[in-house]
Amino acid sequence: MAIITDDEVARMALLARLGLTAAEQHDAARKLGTVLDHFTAIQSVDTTAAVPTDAMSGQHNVKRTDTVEHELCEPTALLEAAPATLRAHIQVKAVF
Amino acid sequence: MKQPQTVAEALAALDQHEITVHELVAATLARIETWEPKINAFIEVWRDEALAVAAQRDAERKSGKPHGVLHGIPVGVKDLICTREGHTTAASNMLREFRSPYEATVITRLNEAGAVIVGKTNLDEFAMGSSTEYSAFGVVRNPWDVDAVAGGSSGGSAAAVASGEALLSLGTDTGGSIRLPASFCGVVGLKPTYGRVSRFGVIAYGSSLDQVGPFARTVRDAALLLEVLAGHDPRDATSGRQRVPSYQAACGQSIAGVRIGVPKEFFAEGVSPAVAEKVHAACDSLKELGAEIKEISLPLTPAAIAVYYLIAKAEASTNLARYDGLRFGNIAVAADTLLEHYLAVRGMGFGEEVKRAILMGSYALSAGYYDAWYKQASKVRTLIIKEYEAVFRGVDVIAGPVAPETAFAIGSKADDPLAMYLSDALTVPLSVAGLPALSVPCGMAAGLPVGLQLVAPAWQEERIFAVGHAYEQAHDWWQRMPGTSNL
Repeated sequence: MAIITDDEVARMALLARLGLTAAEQHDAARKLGTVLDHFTAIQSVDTTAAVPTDAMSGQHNVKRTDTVEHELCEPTALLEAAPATLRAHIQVKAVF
Repeated sequence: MKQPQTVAEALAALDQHEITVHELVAATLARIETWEPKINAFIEVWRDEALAVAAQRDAERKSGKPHGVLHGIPVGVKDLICTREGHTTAASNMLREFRSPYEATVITRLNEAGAVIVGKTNLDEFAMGSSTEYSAFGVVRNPWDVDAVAGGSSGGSAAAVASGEALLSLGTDTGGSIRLPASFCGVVGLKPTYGRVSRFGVIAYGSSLDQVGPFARTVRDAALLLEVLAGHDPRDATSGRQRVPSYQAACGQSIAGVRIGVPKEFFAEGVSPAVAEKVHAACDSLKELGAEIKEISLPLTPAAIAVYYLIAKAEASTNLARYDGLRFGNIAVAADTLLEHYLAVRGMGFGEEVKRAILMGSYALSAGYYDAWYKQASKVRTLIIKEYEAVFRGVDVIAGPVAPETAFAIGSKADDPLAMYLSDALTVPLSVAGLPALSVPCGMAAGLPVGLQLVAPAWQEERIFAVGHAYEQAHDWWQRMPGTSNL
């Protein structure tokens, strides 16, 4: 049995909001199947005594002073970087 | 005068007034003009901006004001790192027109050190790839053989330094994206300890893995650049507060008595005999320099590839959710509903490997599959970390190949994701464990460079700089540059 089917790829694509053609779905299922088949080997590793590693920095409750850093929200820089502007505002597509 | 090949040579020439910053930068831009048509290492060259900064640097030198340690040095920057100048594209159609309103901390540090950024270098789209064939801006070619890949994902940064298009460059390494192209292009590349360098302003791929690091022609130059980049940044909550030592001081230290472990699993099936021979010869050389070489075992090495890809792609699938055509991405599509808009923009904006990453990551995280894939990978990651901790109780440094083979032919793996992923088999274990790892040129096989990988415990980069520098200075690999006769 295929490790991942075209239908499962279609479901993942919808979950991830990724538009794929039927040909792309089929190709992705085939290639992902080959990769995941190789990866099944990790399921035989004994992890009964292991806890998952969820964070790598080893730091907890990292905090900093809650101050506004003006150079990061400089309106002119933001407007210059925006693809479209209108009367000193960023112009965006209409929300549906 | 002869164009300097290293930062040390360039700084000496500048300090002795043998060359001006303008002359150095102009010569670098001339190299770019010669090489770019064949290797495509840059997405954007900042010719006018670099010359203007060079003039400013010359004026600063003339005024006698104190200046930074990279004052006047031409540097390339991977186009995954946000800059106020130019575009930041991540080599994706999704961000083809993106201009960042702010710059990454590493860019601020480069500028404060006086560097002259000459442009943004090419990469695999969103840093996903091992060959820099998955770029929306074309394939990067290896300066040693333009029919071979440069390695990835920081292929442009590696090829730029190898060809002399820059004296230094910045890359990012999630699973080998600095070390692999450094090995393939015959330059020095370092992935620092996770948390050593700020990632603020760096487009995220796998947030528990990503690190920024240097490319250079010599270990000492890489050490100098890391000194500029490293250190805590309050804007990156994962950046460490550990002290940044003088990495340059480590270069030149004796390696007599240093215990170097060579994992037998790094020479397993799949590693080419030519690569194995060069790396074993490098270990023999380290022994002659006084190091103590012993075989070690890291039995979980083969499991690391699955652990890495499952975790990296899971993290990527969430990190890339923001590219939806509303927050980021400026692609015109015809859509009647918000869902149609998302599907169309993301379907058009992302390339094949990025789509595969999003699918694999969504699969590994989704209900019904989470425990078997993502959670299991996270548990095996813990075991890999512990395996390295145990090994480092008996050795100071680990040595092995960077990659199982030398640079492969362009197109030979682009349609075979598993074969491409296996190129990273010897770099991902260290990424998963968060350890610093250095790639140092250690020979040529059939005209292509081979890289020696040196690994240290977390926060101990100075150990691999010491060993890497000692090896490098005992050989002349670093002095070899690809000739334009290859073009």
